[in-house]
Amino acid sequence: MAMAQGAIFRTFNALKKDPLGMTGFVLVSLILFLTLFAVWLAPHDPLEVNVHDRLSSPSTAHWLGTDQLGRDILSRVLFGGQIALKVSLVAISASMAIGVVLGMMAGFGPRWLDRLLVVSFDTVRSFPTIIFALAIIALTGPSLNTVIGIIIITSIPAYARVVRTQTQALRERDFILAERAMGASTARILRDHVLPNIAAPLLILASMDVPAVVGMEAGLSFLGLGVSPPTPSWGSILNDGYSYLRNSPWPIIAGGLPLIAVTLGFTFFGESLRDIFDPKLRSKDA
Amino acid sequence: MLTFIVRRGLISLLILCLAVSLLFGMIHMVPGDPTSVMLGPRATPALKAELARRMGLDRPLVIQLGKFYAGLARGDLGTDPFSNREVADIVFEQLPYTLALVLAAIGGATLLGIPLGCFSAIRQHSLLDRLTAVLSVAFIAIPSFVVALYLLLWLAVKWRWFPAIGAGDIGNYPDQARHLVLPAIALGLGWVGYIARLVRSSMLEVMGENHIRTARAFGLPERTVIIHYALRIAMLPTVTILGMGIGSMLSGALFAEIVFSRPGIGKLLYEGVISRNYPVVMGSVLVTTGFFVLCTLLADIINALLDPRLRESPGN
Amino acid sequence: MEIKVHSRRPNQTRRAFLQSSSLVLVGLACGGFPGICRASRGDVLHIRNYADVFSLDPVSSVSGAEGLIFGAIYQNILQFKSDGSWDTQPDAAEYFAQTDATHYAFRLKPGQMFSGGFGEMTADDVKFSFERMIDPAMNALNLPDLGPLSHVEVHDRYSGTFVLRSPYAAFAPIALAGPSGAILSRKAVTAIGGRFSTHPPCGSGPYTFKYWQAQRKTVLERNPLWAGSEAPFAEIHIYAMTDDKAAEMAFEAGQLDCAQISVETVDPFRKNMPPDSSILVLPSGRNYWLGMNRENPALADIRIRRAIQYAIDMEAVVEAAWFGLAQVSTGPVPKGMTGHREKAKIPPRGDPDRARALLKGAGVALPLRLRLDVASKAQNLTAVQVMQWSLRKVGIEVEIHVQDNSTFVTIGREDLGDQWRNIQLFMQDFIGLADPYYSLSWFISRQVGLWNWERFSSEEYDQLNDLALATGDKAERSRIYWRMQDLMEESGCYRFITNGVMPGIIRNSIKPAFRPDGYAILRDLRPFKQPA
Repeated sequence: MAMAQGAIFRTFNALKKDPLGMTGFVLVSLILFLTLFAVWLAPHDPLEVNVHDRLSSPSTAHWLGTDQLGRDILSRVLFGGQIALKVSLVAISASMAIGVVLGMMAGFGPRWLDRLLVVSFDTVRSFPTIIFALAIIALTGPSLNTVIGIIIITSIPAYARVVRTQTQALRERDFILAERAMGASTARILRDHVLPNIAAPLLILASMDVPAVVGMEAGLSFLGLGVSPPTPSWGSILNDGYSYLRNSPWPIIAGGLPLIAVTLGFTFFGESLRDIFDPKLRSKDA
Repeated sequence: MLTFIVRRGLISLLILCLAVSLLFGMIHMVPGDPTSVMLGPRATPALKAELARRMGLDRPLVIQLGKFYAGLARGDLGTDPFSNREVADIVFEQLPYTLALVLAAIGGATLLGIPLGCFSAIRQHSLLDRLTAVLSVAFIAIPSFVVALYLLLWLAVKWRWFPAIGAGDIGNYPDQARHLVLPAIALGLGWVGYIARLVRSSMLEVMGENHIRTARAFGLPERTVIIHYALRIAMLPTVTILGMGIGSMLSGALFAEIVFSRPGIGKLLYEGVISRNYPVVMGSVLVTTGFFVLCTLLADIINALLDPRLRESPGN
Repeated sequence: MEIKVHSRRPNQTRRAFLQSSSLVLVGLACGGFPGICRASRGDVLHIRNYADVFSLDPVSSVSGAEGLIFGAIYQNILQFKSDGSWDTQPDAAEYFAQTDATHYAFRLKPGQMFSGGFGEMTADDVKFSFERMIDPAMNALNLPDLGPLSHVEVHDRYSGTFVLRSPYAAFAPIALAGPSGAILSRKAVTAIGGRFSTHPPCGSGPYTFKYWQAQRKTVLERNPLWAGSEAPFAEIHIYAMTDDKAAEMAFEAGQLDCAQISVETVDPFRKNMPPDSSILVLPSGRNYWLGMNRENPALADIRIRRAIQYAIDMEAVVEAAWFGLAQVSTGPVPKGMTGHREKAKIPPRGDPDRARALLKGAGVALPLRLRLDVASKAQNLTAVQVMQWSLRKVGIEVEIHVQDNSTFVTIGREDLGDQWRNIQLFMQDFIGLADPYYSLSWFISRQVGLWNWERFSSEEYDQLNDLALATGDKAERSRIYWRMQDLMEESGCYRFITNGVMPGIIRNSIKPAFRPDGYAILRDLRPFKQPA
């Protein structure tokens, strides 16, 4: 516990010295705040239809204007954040969990298993993601759960590869060999020694992965393959905006900004975390 | 080395076959009936049966897959039942549009990214260096379709600097070039900073090495040292990344093609999926995935040539 | 000055390329070159088609996109007037009359020549063209158009009689004036083996087929052999553009003279009209409706279906999805057609109180949760979201299931899975043709599980459907179709949305000529006389 507190304190101190990281941290906090409290913050019901007030420009009643059904765009953007948050939370934790298991199996298991897994990872990666998504959605029909499933499947290889490489590197280290010689079970070695060692790179990877996941969900919803109407998602707001591009620019402007904010926030924050926890990577990169 | 290339090539081929077979199976499980879509509400059962026969839908999946590979061996991707044209013709008619887009994007990004990276490396910690660092991180992850939409909104619809839609008139190169600008920016923007950072870091590495110091010691002008020695070596890892980049850009190209209503493989594929045009979907997936795998393979091989250690690792 | 826009230079030299590339830089530097395309192109008409051509053979043509071209390159016995009505006038015939319930006599004008050197059109060519359509071996897609046509009797070189097995009141507008009644040359079609697709071997209309580029365009040219007054354009270029946005931009860039556009762009165009252009908001014969599957347990109680009918403010739906350009419809039969109802039983704005009362009477627990299937088209998606909002106000929570078009067309089909049991509400749209028969015959009992997804079945309806075909008197026929639409509404299976609109934009230099369903009549489009 004290260790965790120390880590947080250390992180915060380091962040203070890194303006970009701090910007990222602030952006991320702001987005989380706005999203989590959307119910109280949103000025209107995001589903409320008002046909005669459609596609209006920003006004005091509708700060970001209205869409083709007269719905308040600001409220839709705020609630759209919940979809983005849900997708990234579920998809990233699931793919990380599966990735850790598969990666450890590949790294610690027999050679044939390693090869098999590596080839499967490569197969998944060999589809351009969007093509894979199109095919799956054609199969199952569009829904948010399908989108989450697709993101999980396509993200597993990235996590698994990191875990595999780290596990392989650890497996020949003296202290692991010593543990083994003393008869420790593989499961115990993995849990007590390997897992703690790969936690930091995994968390950094996850934080850097958020923009990609949010972008994927938005992209599929933009193609009309994600959330069902009238659920607001940043992608579906953009899709509506694209359909009515000539009538009003506001849905596109409003749907794109949060995506950019999430991207910048998590990337800056993630980079900063990486610099703090993994100075090796920093020296290599910078 | 040869064994490595052969082995790596075979694995790529295996992966490609697996991916395509998987997709073939998936797409045939999809509900939705291409014959009804095509013939509309007037279709009689007899007509639909005839069309299904023409599309080969009446055979078991394995036979269809077998036929697909057999045709492939002859360079035949099948026939698009909707337009009665060879799928290969359709796909290769659309491919140049996508390739032009991807090459313009990556070419533009490289042309901007390399000087930016060089400059950042030479003037480490200058304002431009720091700016590049920030922007590169910022732009890498912004979804390309958001950039595409913003460009469309402002530069095409509002200010009308560039055409918003299509790929330009056939044979009219200036027109086609103008149509290429916005989608290429949307696709390439994220890569400018990425390439700049890559060039910067490998430049810094190279500049510290002995032969560069030697060159300098010989009194060669700084310009020559940088361009002829440092950059040349520093470019190699960049080339590797570019190989993979071109492949992964295909996903982004789909969005750019849809937003700007450009012809291309991405749009072809998207419309193929939507209308259940199986032969066209298979053809375009095969070509894109093949292209992707090929780019990755080339990148791996170049990587291995540069760094012999990689050849030993079983995963690669 | 004439600037060729669609110049094709396959043999462009390297030098020309270099010149044009340097032009790019200049062009970019000064912000593009607007106006390069905006120029008159002499007597070439550039027009949008909403889809590519699949086949120009009446036997295998699939859409109105081809019908548009048929009207210019082929002749029929009758053709639609270009006065915005569904009235017909003779085309290839100089004489045409219905002699009794099952016989239609015609006499062709002499001297109508087929292109390609296939000689004069004769009554035998008419016999060939129609009997080819009903030949079972040909498997004609549009066979239903011809109804109970039995055969064509030839009396002499120019005259003959169509013989039907049973009365078919829609014969003249659908079979004779429609695309399925195009007259081809027996010699020409036999010479190429009896079938063709995108390259018609002959034609006798004011224009002839010149060439077709897949996914791009079809080009027609003036037919020198045409017997009537000379066709007004030397060439017509018909561009296949599935995307409304692309068509709108192309029109703005001066590349099109006439294009169908989407409803939402009418307003922006009106505010910012391209030079010398006008917007036309034409009616459309489409039928959009909300269907209810009465065999689904949740909708088995007619009171629930009626509640849904009354709950929806359809005026708001049409205002939102058709941008105030269309009206709420009274049934599948559009305005201006025999059998059009002046008023539906359910008021356009609905009656939410009545809906609530009906739900209460049915004793369902609220909120009632239902699914609504819809095809993935922007307009339909907008419409269902407004309906969803209306329904929510009376306590019905609707979950929207968006299906892509190819899946959507299968969801009510019994032969393609079990989905038909699960569907509850769905928004559907069918195109109409020139006769009410075509709009209403999809809802008979025999169509249950095929195209009748509501599984609506009424003996009276089926009988009336047959009776109407045997009724020649317009007023009597109208009354039958009114009753049929009443029956549909009373079953609670249907809430009619609209017959839609077909907005278009056209250069002021072109004199418009359209059918009442918004399709251009190509052969009647002509330039206004330019002052010398």
